[in-house]
Amino acid sequence: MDSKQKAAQLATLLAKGEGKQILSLMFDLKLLDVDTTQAIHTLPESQPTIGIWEAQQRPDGVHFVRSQKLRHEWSGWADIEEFHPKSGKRRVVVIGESVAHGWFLAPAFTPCKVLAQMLGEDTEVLDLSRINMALPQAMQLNSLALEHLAPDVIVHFSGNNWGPLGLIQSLSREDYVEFTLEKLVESRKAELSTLIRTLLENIAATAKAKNVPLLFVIPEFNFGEWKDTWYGPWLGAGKTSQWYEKRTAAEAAFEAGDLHRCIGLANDMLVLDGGALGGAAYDLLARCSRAKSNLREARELFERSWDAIFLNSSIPLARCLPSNREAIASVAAASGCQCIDLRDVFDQAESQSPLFADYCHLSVEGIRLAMSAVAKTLAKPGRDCTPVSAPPHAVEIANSFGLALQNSALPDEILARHLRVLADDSPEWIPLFLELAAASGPLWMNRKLRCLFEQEKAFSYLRNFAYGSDWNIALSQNLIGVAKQILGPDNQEATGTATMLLHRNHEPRDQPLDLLSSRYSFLSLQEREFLWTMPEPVRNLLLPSSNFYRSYKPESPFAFAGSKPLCLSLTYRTPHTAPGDTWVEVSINQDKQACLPPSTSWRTCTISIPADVLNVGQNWLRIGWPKLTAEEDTVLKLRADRMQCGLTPELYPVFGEIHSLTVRVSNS
Amino acid sequence: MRGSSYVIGISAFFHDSSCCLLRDGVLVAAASEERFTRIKHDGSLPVNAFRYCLREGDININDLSCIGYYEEPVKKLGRQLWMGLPGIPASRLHDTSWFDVHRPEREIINQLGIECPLHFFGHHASHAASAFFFSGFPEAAIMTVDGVGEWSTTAYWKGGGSTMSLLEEVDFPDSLGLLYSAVTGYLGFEVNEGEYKVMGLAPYGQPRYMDKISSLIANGKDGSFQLDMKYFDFLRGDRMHSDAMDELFGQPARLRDSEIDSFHYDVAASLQKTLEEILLQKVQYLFERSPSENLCMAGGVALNCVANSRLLKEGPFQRLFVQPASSDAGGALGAAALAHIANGGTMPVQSLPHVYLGRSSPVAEIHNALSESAIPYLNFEGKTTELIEAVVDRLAAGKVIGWFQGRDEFGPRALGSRSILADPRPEHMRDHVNALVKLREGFRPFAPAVPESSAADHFDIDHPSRFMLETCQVTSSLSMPAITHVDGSARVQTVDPQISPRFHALLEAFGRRTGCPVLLNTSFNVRGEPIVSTFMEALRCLIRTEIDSLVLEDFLLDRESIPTDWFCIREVTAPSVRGVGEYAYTFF
Ligand SMILES: [Fe+2]
Repeated sequence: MDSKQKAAQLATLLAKGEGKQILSLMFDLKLLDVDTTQAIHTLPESQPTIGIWEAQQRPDGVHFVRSQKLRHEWSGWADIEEFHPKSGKRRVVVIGESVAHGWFLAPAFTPCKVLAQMLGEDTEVLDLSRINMALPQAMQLNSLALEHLAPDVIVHFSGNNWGPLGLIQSLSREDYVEFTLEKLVESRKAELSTLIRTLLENIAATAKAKNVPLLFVIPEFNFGEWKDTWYGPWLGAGKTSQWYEKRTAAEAAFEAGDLHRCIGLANDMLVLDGGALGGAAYDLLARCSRAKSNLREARELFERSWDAIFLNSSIPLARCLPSNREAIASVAAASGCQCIDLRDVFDQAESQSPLFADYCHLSVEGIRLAMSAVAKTLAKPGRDCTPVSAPPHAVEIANSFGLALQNSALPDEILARHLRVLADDSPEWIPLFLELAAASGPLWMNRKLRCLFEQEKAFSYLRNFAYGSDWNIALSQNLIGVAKQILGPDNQEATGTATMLLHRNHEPRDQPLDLLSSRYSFLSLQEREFLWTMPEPVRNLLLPSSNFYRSYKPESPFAFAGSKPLCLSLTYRTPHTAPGDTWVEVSINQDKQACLPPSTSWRTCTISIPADVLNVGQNWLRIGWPKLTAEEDTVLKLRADRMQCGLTPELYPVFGEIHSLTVRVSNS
Repeated sequence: MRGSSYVIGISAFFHDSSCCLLRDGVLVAAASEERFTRIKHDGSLPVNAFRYCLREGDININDLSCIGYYEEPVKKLGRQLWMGLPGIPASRLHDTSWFDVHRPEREIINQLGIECPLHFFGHHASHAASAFFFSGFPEAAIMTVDGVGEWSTTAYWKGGGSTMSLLEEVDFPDSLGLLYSAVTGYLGFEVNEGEYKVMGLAPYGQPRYMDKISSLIANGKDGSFQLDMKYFDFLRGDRMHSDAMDELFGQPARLRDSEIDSFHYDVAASLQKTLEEILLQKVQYLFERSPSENLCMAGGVALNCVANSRLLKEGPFQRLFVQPASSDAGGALGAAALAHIANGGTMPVQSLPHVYLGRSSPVAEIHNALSESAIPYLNFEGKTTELIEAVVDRLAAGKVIGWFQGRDEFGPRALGSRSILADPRPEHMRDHVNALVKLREGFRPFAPAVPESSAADHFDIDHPSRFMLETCQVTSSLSMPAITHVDGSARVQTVDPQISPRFHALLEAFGRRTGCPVLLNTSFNVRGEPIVSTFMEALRCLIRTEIDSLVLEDFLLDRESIPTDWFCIREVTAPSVRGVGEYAYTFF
């Protein structure tokens, strides 16, 4: 046998059974010799670049000037053309994430501008904050700033983006073979915490070596208003169903104001799910405490609900986890750095107006409060901080407009708050909103929005965002519903254009309408159902990837427009429900249209939809999934199987899967 | 509709991942994943292309009879193991997916949701089937030539009816594709990307280094040939050529983007000529093994259109069909055909009439979006003649047009669906188009498109050449510098009035107006990005480049009507994602 035949035979053997693992282990044990001496192509050293600013040598020293090559990244950073060489002024460098950047209030009203104004003429504030900044980047900026910018003090204002995203990938199969979810959460927490501490210690040590003091600012979360989307755990058939029954009842009790009953049911849920995946249960308990105005208790419970983030690989919106808070505080203390906790600042302020714009980004008032605490710490002894006035009205309008439009995870209440700001300003805003929601092309192609961008500089962040992608508002989000509520019943004619557009653009005509498109199929960006429409790398990081719709809830809603009799075509399967005395129910606007049998393999059915069940404007198609019948051992086996293949395990029950869902105009 | 056999073909996990759909053996749809993800040469599982194929076929996943996959993973692993673990770059160690032979099957089942049977076929069998079963020939000799699949790098076949038999093959590491790529790398171009450039460079040089090239490869008298591996480093995975190649040519490898001089032209000419001679001898050998009037070719090397023309002119075969998506993208077609046969079907004799097998943008959608933008545009719905005249006005005035019509092309060439068009006659047009849009090396001329009926008036060609896979001499009385190579050749596309009525009408109308029925035709994309697929991508391309006018189906937009604010797109768009092809062939 020659060497090629031997290699072929080895491949055949490796392809069987445990071959891949054997090879992996041989690598790990270094039993296989691997050439690590190969040259790796490296780029020649270029000019130092700090964020988007490139070093430029000039007679008076090194300037850091915005790089044209990085033009596409400018909008994520502060709107500053260049940093001059250090003058006689005291220099404060701020490194932070979107909260520090000011997001939709930027560039007009940013924490750094406010801080600079408060600190007065003899201090300059260099803004190195960036949207989506992660901790390793902050560490890198810290070193670069120390090396090139000669700071007198560095402020680190971040902690929201250090979530466990991606950690789930590092699970080993052993974690699952003898796993309890609690143990898993604990180990993930410890892993994250160690990582964060290491990076923070590096930041502190690098600054200490240069004798530059650091100030850490711990961000706060909008506990007063936020509402997360949590999913139910996969506990095996009987328990999962019970859990969902309890949850439905608990939500109903909460809505009805029966907090006592809600708390009882939430505690039952905790008994069933053991707490580790108890995001939903703790969240209910927290909301009850909040409803009773016990915000401190609510806060603790909300933070407990976040434990589920360590296992829930759907999009966790930015937040500063308790372990991150602890890490910042303890590293600051151990390294002799100052530290401001915005929680304390906000608790003491007892402000009347909202401090948050969404889950973690600050309102104008929030920025003022936070920055005056920073200014007080940094100000020279005996110096008062200059009070800062509110930004121009247009800036607040742009903030509310941008948040409501882009941030489609906003709970209805916060969305309504922003829309009210707009409605109070001008009667034109809400109809524009509705028009954008019903548009055919992407946001940037809308004429009215373009005129707005041309006229009003305050919209520059939204403008960059809009032109950067072909992004569009999903019809299935509740934007239209909330906007109509704000308008009230007297103003329905204002919605005329939008309704016309809704029918023109979102009603099936010659071509069927694909209801699985992200335009029609998810309620908020926090939903797992939405993730399969994301580009592959993101999708694979977040959930067991499948290129079709999977419902992690007992019901799947879709929005569309229609006026003629329609023909609906659905290809579905219920992988964990065997046929029996249970059904897949299809309804339009609460009107039941069909009951279909569960099927563990793909099944296509067509359903006629009469015109009289359709509303003018937005219509809702709902698919109610049958009860799960797969038992716990099946569930565990499936998880272990996925782990064996190196895939993200499934911790949440999949009630049903849809491969295609279309509506077309009925032929008859 | 029911009762038909629907078969999906997939090529993936290397580069140019693709998916196609056959209905009773007839090709219904085919698309590469890069057109959906906008990642050039995207090699990931073609999830978007798969969904597109189902949609285009108006079927659901449970209508599928079976799936064909274009490669045999276990055989490929064998070859990878033989290459030796020391060849694995350290950077790939964290990633064990390359020896995960179950990955294609698992991902096809889990990600696509496939429940029907899945068949695996050899890489070269898939290439061969992709050419033969879509050639329109009832029988033919088939030659497949590429870098490498599992073991084969070149294979000789005989096809007839619904069967193909393998006559002979050449195994890795002896490979014509890798030879060409290695010298491409030596000449400072991107492997997997720059081979076209080397072919385009060749006519500028003299084949002075044939003897040196023949040190790299020893050609056998039969179907075989051998590379002298001391000149090649690709077994080590870091780069294609070794230091010995530098010594052989007496010059270090050219650095990318550095000056190209006569030495590089001459090496390119020598390589090209060597390849042509070897292929001519192989084709002759194949003819002896399998006499036929018809030759089919596929595999990356079959995209060498200069060689193809010589094979047809000087070789023993009467007719030649080259699979237009000859790279691994086309493997999906062959795998689908073989799966259809394995499933008990027969392949109808079909000649691929065109490659408009991809997505289209509904006219209503374009209209709605344009009307929402309220920018000035011309609407020619129901007025094709007027549209054509308006475009001719612009072309005759020296304007450069983005032309977006119907379904997009499968394969690397834009053939009148997603094309940039211009008058080929003005002296400056080649540089002008390069500067405006393509930002590419000036040494390569663009390709011409000409109505089939007038092709012979301007080019030395006596048969249709619909896929730009051959070159011929320009014989026209017109001077067309933008499409004429330094050696007087052109890579011509002949346009059939039945297949591309609107594009054909445009060429005819331009001919009537100017006496020149030929247009410069190049792919509609920004340099380094995949060809545009949707109308929104075409519109963004208009904004990001300096194209003068854009035709989106029935609508015409001139550059002047773009609102100033839209140029913000130029600022916020990141430079194109780098393609998969880099210094080294991606073995793993
Ligand atoms: Fe190939």
